[in-house]
Parts: sequence; structure tokens; C-alpha cells
Amino acid sequence: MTEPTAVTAAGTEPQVVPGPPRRTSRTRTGRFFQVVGRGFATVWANPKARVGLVMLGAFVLMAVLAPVLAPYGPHDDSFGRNEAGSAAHWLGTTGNGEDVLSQVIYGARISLLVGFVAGGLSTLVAVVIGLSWGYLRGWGDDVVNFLVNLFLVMPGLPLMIIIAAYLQNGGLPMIILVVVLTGWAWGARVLRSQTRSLRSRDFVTAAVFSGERPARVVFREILPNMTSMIAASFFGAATAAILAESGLSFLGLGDMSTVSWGSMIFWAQNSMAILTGQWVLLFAPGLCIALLATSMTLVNFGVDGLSNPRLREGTGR
Amino acid sequence: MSLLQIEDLTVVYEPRGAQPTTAVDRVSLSLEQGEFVGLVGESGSGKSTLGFAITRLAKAPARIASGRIVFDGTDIAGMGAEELRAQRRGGFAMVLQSGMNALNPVRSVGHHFADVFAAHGHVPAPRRRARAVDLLDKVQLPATVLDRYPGELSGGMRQRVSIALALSLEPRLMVFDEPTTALDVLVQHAVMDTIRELQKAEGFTAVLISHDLGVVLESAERVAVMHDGRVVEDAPARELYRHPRHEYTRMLLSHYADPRAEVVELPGLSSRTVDAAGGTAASVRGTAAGPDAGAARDAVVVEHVSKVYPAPRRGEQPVTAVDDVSFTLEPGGALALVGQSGSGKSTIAKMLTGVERPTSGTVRFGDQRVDRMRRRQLRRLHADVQMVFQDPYSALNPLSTVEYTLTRPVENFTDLRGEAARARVLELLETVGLTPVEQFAAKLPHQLSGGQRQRVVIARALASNPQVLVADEPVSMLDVSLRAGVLALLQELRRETGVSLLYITHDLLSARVIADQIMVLHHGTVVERGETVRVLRFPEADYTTRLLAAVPQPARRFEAS
Repeated sequence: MTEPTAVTAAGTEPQVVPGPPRRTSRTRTGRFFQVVGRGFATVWANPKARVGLVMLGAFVLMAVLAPVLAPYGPHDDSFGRNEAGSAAHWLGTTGNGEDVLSQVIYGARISLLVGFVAGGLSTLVAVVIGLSWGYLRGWGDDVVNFLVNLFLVMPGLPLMIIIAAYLQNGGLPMIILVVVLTGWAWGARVLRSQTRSLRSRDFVTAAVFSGERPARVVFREILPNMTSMIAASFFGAATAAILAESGLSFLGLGDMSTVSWGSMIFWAQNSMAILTGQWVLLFAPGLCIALLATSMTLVNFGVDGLSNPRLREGTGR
Repeated sequence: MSLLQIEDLTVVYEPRGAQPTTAVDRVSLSLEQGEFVGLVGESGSGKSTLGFAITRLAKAPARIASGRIVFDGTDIAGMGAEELRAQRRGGFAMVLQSGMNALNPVRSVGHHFADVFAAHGHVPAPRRRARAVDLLDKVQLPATVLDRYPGELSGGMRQRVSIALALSLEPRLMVFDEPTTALDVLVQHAVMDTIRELQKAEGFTAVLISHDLGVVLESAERVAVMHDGRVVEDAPARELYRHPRHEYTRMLLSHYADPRAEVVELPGLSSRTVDAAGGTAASVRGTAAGPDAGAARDAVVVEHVSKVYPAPRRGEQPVTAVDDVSFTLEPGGALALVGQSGSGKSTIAKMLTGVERPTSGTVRFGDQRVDRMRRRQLRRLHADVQMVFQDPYSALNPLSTVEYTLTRPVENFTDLRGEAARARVLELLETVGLTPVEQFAAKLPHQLSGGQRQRVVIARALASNPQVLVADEPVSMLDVSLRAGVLALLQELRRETGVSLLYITHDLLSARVIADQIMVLHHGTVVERGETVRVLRFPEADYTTRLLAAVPQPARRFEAS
């Protein structure tokens, strides 16, 4: 809105000599951290997202510092069975004589790992497929369209259960694979429509006129302009992955030897924890799952702000 | 007593996390009952902010920092929301630039009127339809419009509807914010006529905000010129035109000329006179055909080209965008394609550059058939045929530096790499006049003004040493004072590199100064062609005459009387 213009002699163009531009780093990595830092600041500026970031940060700390924070090992079953909360065991013990609090703390590792890895991988698949699909025209368009629709119409959880049943006992990688397979389609469709709208912009045509090859047009010109959307898609996918992992573990389709929040609920259910009055056994991991998913969703509110061009510097006239 | 008295009004923008900027700076202005006042300024001058402030439509982050706005004896600067709503009837109304998009697409025009009447309750229910018909009649629309939806009306009709809606509250002050800028040239003219007649008939006070001094001088009795948030000159229209006092006003006025005149001069552009028939064309071609390297060698030959787009909806007629057009762009020549929007001029540019394929006919560049090219051949074609885009704000990737934007075509089309490529980039920046080159190379698009961005776009087009430049409305998005600079650059490039130029525009004045040959298009067919000077001075086709009449010319109103 406020381009400085100066009265100059007729015909000569008022020169906007921009002041010293914001300090931009010379090195590639330096610039990368600057961009990340600016993005973080934008997300932080949103109050909801700030709450989400704090919660998420707490969970990450809990997972990383699990050996320090947890009073006992997660598999240590040397305690009394089905004990109620006490000074030694704040949340009591399980039917196998393990400390619940320690299990909850260690469980964060699995949930976060699956969330970030599976979320990241399915976003990657979504970006590659969504962007190429949005940019290219022709028969391939219809083929991908059919495939994506196929994954979208099939209900997620049953599909997961079937795939998980076939890949029985694959451990964590299996769960991640299942989540990625069932989770990429939605992101691909969203990113494709954004690519469609960006490809008609002049700077994309201009890149073609500059002799750029299609791959470069898509990933160097279009992709950076939808960072916020990709970030949003990542947090969405990570949330879904966390819920999916818990769901599969709860159904006993995960790796039962690892301690995750889902498997904790599975075992609690098996030992009828509710009937023995140990509701904490179900409640604590359940609450953690809910809080972690909530934190990611809250962060997404701030990422939405990123994608609103009015909040971004320099895009306005 | 004046109807509206603005005293020392200051409006600041306070965006979150950025420096506040003063958009309107201690402006004082008074409007008398029944006056037609023009408010002129270029982008960023604060004219729209002022318009929004006096109708109290300013929203955060804009804030009235100080000053008084006295409307009919009451200060409205600090008025509450409900008081303000009641005041809208018989008070002030505003017609926006994008007024045609201000209508709700799922409600019929009749509903829009009913909503306004219901909100203010000043028209009894049984009389509402009659009153709406009455209002539509005032803006020269038939009563049948009431049952139509906004999507079924043209841009000009929708803008008329929004004017009628504003009128429905019998305002005593109407603010028109660029009411015709988004409309087509010929429609613009008609809508402005309506506004002028309405103002005379209804006797309301009108404020016309525009970037176009020509349009304002044609309508307003008094003109206030704004620059950097201040009113630099405020004078009756005739006096402002005859004896502009402020340097800025004089600069703005110097950019208007009659394309039909014998001699057309714009600041910074060499004068083009008609000594003998075709004299200018010959002289330009003479210099262009010098032995310089990089000059155009091949002609672009377009023969009987048509483009038919499939019907937009089932059951409708297919759209014929271009209908049997033939022309030749000689090496080193400059041809202007003029016409209003929808005349097919941009479609021709797309077919010339291989972006679209013609439905029938041939497009040849040298001995190559452009209309049959595959993707890989097109890449080679783009080394010779380049494009300058209309909107410099969207033609540059907002995330890439100028250097990156220019390095890519240099590396793709030439053998230069590394330091040599960088040297070429700096040379290109030098050519388009962006100095100091080192500084500009490091900038991002948002750090540049519109004119500077357009220069970067031109530099990118030049990177491959093209033979042909296709410029699609290269100056229509720029402020008047920046246009001449970009046009002068194009002219200079032709003279120095001998590049052929296809110049697409609706603006006859710029066509007159830039092109030797002109082709007037209407509904996809050529209605007139020939030497620019001859066609514009002595037009034969009726359509050309209408286009010429639509060019705003302050001179016409004042010289005639």
C-alpha cells in the first residue's frame, strides 16, 4: 500500500531505493535457519498455537528425557500387581507389576516417533504426488485421480486393520508403513488443488519462458510458495498417525512387546482394569493421546495464519 | 456551511508486528452541498484511505489518529457503530472499486434492495419493488435485472447495481472509489457518464477518487491532488488544468496527450511526428536493421488463424476468441494489437508464443511452424520469442531474488555459467536501468516498486537475446508516472538491439508512441489495420473511433468551451 514515491522531474521514474534490506544470511544453512525462525515466530504469535507449541514441547521433552524422568524401567515387573497409587508408584502398577507412570513417560517416545516419522513420510508422498499431479495435464491426471479417490473412499481404520493383519508382527516399521499407505491421499488432494491455482500465476508461465524443465518449475517455483500448506498437512498427518498407532496397538495389531500408550490401554483392557478400580490405567495413556493430538491441532491454527498472505510481509501491494 | 468539513485528519496503519505508517497526514478539506470533487493520487498516496475514513468504513489496522470529520454539523470521527448505521441513510454512501464483486452471488438483485430497505425501514414493504425499479432506472438498467443473480450480469451492470444500492439510502454524500478502474475501456466511459448525469439530477455531493487525472478532470468541478498522504493542490478543475501550481500536478498532467494529435510527446519519450507517410516507421527500421548482432532476422507470419474454445457450459455456443486473423511482424518491426478485453488480443499472443495452439491456420516463425511444436521445440522457440507480462506483481516469484530470476534463463539459454553468467545478469540489469546493479541483484520482488519489477521482467525476457518480444499490456498495472519510463525503455531496446515487438494494449496513447503498425481487434476479427499514425489520426472503422473517444482527455472539456 505504501510504496514511497518521490516527486521527480517529469518522465524519470521515482526511485524507490529500498533501505538496507533485512539482514539476510549469506550461507545456505544460515538462510534456512532464518526462514525456520521467522516461520516459528509467525506461529508463536498465534495464542492458540502458542499453547499447542508449549504442550508439544513438553511431550517432546518427556520423550527425550524419559530415562531421567521415569522412576523405573518400562519393562520392570518386579513390583506388586494391581497396586493403587502410592508414594512409590504415583499412578499405581499394572496387572504385570510394572510402574504405570514410567510406562506413560516411555510411551511418549513411540507415539512421537510414529507421529513424526509417519506424518513426515506421508506428507512427502502427498507433496510429490500432489504437486506433479496438479502441474501435469493429460491421461496421467485421470489415473492418479482414480487412485487417490480409491484411497479416500475406503474407510481408514478397516483398511489399516486389514493391511496390519497381513503384515503381522512387523513391529514399528510396519505400523509406520500402514499409516503412510492410508494417510497420504487427503494431503495429495489438497496440495494438488493449490498447485492448480498457482500454476496459472504469471511467474510460473514466466519460468517456463525462462526455459525451466517441469520438475524444476514444480519443486523450485511452486513448492516454496505453499510451505504453510505443507506444514499444515504435516501436522494433520502426524495427528492422524498418532491416533492410528494408538488405535492399532489398542486392537492388539501393533508390536505388543513395546510400551506405547495404545498397548497400555490394550493390556489394561485385557486385565479388566476398570473392574479392579484401576481407572488410571486406562485414563492416563488415553489423556496423553488426547493431549498430544490436541497440541498438534492447536499448532495447526498458527500454521493457518502462515498461509494467510495478509499476515505475510511483502505479498501485499 | 459546508456539508463535510475535514480538519487536520491523520490516519495511521498499525499492522501487528510492523512499523506503523501514516497514510493520511493532517489533511484538511471541505465539501459544499452538491459539489463534484475529484481526489487524485497515485498508488500509496492515501486517497482511498481518506475516502474510507470520511465514510467511517476504515477498519483495523487503519485508525483515525487525530482530527475531526464534521458532517452536517456533527463530528463523526468518534461516532459509535449503531449511531453510524442510522446515519448511513440520508448521510453518506460509498461505491467501491470492486463494487461488482460486492454483491452476494447467491441472492438476486431484488433481494439486495429489499435488505437495504428492511434495514432502514424507510420504504414501506408494498412500495419496495417500485422503488427498486425506480432506482435501477436512474442507473439505466431495466427492471428485469431485479430477478437476476449477480453472476448473470456483466461487470458494468453490476457496478451500476451497486451505485443504485448506494443511492437507495438517498445519501447527501457519495464517495466513488475508483468506480471504473476494474471495468473495460468502453464500459468505463459509459459508467462515468451515468455517474455525472446522476450527480446533476440528484444533486448529491460526490467525491470521485481515482488514480487517473484525465478521468477526474473530465467530470469534477474541483480537484484535490494527493501525494504521500497530503493534499498538495486543491483547485477548480479548469484552473488546475490551465495553471497547475504544484510540481507534482504538472508532472501528472504531462502524461496526458491526445493519440489523435499531430505530434504526441510524453516525458522521456522521443517525439514522433508525421512528416511523410510512414516516415517514422522507416527511420526506426533503418536504424534497427544495422549490422548489430542479436537483431531480429526472422519474421513472424500469422495466416488465417482462428481459436475456438469449447462451450463453457453444456448447451451453449463455443466461444470464438480469434476469427481468421492474418498478419506479419517484420524483423525489427513494432506492431500494436489494440482492442477491449475479450477482443482476442491476448489469445493471439498465446498462440504466437506456443502457449496455446490455434484451432485452424498457421503461425510461422522463420521456417518453423509454431502451431505444431512439441514441448522440447517450444523450449528452443522461447530462446527467440520472449514475453513481457502484464502484472509485474505476479510475474516474479515472491521468494526468489532478482539475481536468481535472471540467472535461470541465462543458464538455460546460453553457455554462460558461474561468474560469466553473473556478469551477464548484471549487464542485463544495467540495460534496463536498474543501477546500482549489485544492490538490485540481491533484492526480493517485494523490495521493489511496480516500475522496477516490470524492468526486472523485461530484463528476464532479454536474457536469451530474443528476436521477438511479446509485451502483453506491460504498463497497464503501473502508475501513470512510471508508464512513460517503461515505454521509453521498450523503445530504446528496439533501437539498440533491433528486437521485433508485438505490443498488446487497450491504451491507444501508448500504442501511438511505441508502435509503427497497428491492428484494431474487435470480437476476434481485425476491423482496421495500417500505420499507427494514419489509423489513429484518421480512423475509418467506427469501432476505432469509439476506442479513441474513450481515452480520457482533460483537453477536450476545456479546449472546447
